[in-house]
Amino acid sequence: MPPDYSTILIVDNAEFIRMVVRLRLEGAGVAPKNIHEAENGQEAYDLLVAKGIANILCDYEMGVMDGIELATKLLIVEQRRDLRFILFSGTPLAKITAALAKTGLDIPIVSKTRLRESWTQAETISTWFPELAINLAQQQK
Amino acid sequence: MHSPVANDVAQKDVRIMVVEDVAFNLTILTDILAERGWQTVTATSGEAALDILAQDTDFQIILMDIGLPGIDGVETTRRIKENPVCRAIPVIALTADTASERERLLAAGLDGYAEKNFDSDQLFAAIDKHLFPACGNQQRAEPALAASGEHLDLDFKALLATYADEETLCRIAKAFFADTDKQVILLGTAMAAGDQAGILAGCHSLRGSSAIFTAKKLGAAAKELDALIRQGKKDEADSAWQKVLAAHESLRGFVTSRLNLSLQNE
Repeated sequence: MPPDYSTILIVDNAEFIRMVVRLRLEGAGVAPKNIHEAENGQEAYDLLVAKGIANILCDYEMGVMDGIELATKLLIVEQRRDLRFILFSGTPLAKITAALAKTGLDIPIVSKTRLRESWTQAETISTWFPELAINLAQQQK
Repeated sequence: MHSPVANDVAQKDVRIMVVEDVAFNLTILTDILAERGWQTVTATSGEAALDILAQDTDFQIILMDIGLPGIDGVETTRRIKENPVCRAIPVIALTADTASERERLLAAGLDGYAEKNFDSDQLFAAIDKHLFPACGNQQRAEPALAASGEHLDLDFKALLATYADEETLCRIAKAFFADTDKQVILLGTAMAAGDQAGILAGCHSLRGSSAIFTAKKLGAAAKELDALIRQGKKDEADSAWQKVLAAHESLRGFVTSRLNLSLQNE
C-alpha cells in the first residue's frame, strides 16, 4: 500500500500519553480519522502495514518492541525511506542518542516535555512531518 | 520558597541564546531548555551570534560552544564583552574539556561553564548560578507550567490553559489515573519481588506521566525511589515507595474533588 502522508500513528503504551498527543495533533489541524494509535511496536507495525500510515510518533521505551526496535525494523531492515519517524521520550536524550548511535539510525528525538506545549502546524508539525503539514495546508484551502 | 528574583525569571519570558554549530546538538539543547518553558534563539556560528546581538540583546543567558567554525567561542565572547550594550549577559561555555581548560575559559572572560554532555540537571545548575544569584545559587526554577497552583502537587490553572476546558481535562485525568493505577500496581509487584529492572521501569513510566500532568510531588517521589534503588538503599527505598503511594492517592483526592469526578476503581 502506498504511504498516506495525511495519516499519523501515535505509539505509546500509556493511554494518557496517547490521548495528550492526539489532542495536540487535533489542535494542530489533523483530522481525528487520520490519527491512529498503537500500544507497542508490534501493534504499530501491523497497523502501518495494513493502513499505509506514513508518519510515526513513537515512544522510546515500551514493553513489546520498543521505539528503537520498531525504527530499526522499518528503516534499516525494510529500508522504508518513505516513512517519517520521530522518537519521543522522557529518557535523558543523551542516553537515547547513544542507543541510536549503536544502530546507525538517524532519526529525530523529541522530549516528552514538548507534550505540555501547544503545537501549531507552522512550528511543530511542519518541522517534524513536512508532508503532513503540506496536506493540512491543502485541506485548509 | 522562591525569592521575588526567582519568581520574576522562572517564567516563559526567559530567553536564552544557544550558539552551537552542530544542528543535532542544538536540537537537544533547545529541548532541554524547553523543559522549563524557556525560549531559545539559536546561532550556528560566532558571527551569527554577534549579528543577532546587534539587533536584539534581550537574553538572560548565552550558551556558547567553544569549538565553533570561523571565530571561536572565546573570541565571540571577547567581542560580546567589549560591547557595552550586551556585555552584562552571562556567557556560559559548553565544553567537554578538562579543568585546566575551564580555568582558561574563565580567565578569557566567560562567566561559567557546563559540560557538553547534555545532562539537564548539570546544565540547569550552571544556568541557575546566573539566573538566581540572590538565592545563594541554590534556587531552582520550576517548569513554567508548574510555576503556580492552588495545590502543591498540581498546577490546575496551567492544565486548564493547556487543555482548554474542564470536559477535556476530565478525559485527560481519567486516562492519567487509568494508566498510573496500573503503573503503581506493577511497581508494587516489582518492589515486593525486589525486581530492580521492574522498579526502574515503573518509576520511569510514573515520572513521564507525572511530568506531563504537572504532578510534581508524584514525579519527585518516583525520582527519589529510582535514585535509592540505583544506590542499593533498600530500607530507604521502602520509605520512598510509601511516598509514591501517598502522593498518588493525595493527587487522586485533589483531582476527584476539583473536577467533581469519580476516579476510584475506573
